[in-house]
Amino acid sequence: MRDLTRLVLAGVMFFGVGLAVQGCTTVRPYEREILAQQIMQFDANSEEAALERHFLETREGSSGGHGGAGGGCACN
Amino acid sequence: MKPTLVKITTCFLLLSMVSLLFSGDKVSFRTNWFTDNIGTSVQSPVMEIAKAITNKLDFLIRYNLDRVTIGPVRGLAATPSLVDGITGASRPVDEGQPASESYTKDRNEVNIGLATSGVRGSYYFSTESDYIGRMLTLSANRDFNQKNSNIAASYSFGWDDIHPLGTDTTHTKRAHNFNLTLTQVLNPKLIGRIGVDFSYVDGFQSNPYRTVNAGGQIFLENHPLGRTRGALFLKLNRYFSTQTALNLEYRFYRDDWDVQSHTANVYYHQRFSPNVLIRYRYRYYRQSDAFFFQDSYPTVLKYLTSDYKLEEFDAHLFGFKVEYNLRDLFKEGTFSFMSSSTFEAKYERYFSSNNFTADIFQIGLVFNY
Repeated sequence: MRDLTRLVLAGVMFFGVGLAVQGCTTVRPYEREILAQQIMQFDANSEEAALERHFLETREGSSGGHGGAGGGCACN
Repeated sequence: MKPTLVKITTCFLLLSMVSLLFSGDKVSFRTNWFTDNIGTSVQSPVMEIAKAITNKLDFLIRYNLDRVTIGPVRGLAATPSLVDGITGASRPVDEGQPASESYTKDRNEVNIGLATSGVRGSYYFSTESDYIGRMLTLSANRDFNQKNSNIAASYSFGWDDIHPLGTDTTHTKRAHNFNLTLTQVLNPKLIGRIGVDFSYVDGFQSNPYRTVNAGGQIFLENHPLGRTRGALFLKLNRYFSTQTALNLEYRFYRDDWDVQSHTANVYYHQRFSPNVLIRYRYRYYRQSDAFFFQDSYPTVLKYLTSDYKLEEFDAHLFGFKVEYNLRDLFKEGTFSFMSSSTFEAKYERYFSSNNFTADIFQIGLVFNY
């Protein structure tokens, strides 16, 4: 339980840094052409990612870290 | 194999017909083949349709079929006659389905989602001969800082019913999942994402067919009924002027079964021509074992397991993916509707220090309108 408390605190610190970073840069819309490309997207291949998550969570003892949860099945 | 081929062909033909009805949307079809060194193979065709119903309402539906073939049981963990190996998949063993023969079963999965104005809801349903899985998810996201920042949060509730074949027993499992994610534009060529996941799982989390030799007797596997899990992750995408991009990912995971892991992912995208994109990929994974995992059980303990997912090991995955844009092939004529589509092919190899190896193949067609 203590380790999970540390995980929660680490998550809060993580986010604190993230929120602090917000104030550092403003990229204007006309400067975001490159960021709109598929190879720069985090969620461009959500279907492929779901298939991979399904495979990895049936082979490894970890889960999560993808920004959402997958559903259950006998393979888990 | 033949019925599966018929299903895949039917899905493709339906997809082609359905794609004619949509504009400004996406229809995709992919199929995976997976084989490993313990005799398990999986064929997984997946079809997904994403459509804008109105200016503000999007609809998504995904269907996935898993045809799983599980090899013969090679050995039971912690038995005197153990050779190696632990069946990684869920399969019954009885007179009709002896351990010496392969076992095949189908899993059907449907995901339906609606999204509007930064809020999204979805429902997951999975059914197979001995397991029903369901999940409801609600998520929301909002842009800040002139759309340079985005915060997203989601909550999922899953409820599963497990009916082991050959028994009158029903087990249940409930899961609560929370996620918080921040995405931040760092400069015109660099974007980052950090996030945290928490989940609590309550209920049956053992394999109902797997047994363990403890103190000279055979017992069914017995895992704790509760599990609290957490993960922190960081992602960075960086673009280079040579039309290449590097994606870096790191995840730290820990739960109250004492499983702790580190995962690092690297993707390298390179565009060879306006129509050809190749992605190289490497992933490293390392985990510790669960507090109740043992290679053998000289005495009977409260918790017993023969699940290799709970032992200490590390794993590597590497592979590549090719995407080919079909616009030049179907500019005019009967199949011009395919001019905005992309063909994909992927191969990956997975191997771990606990002697598990697997090959993953995937091909797909994505139609954008």
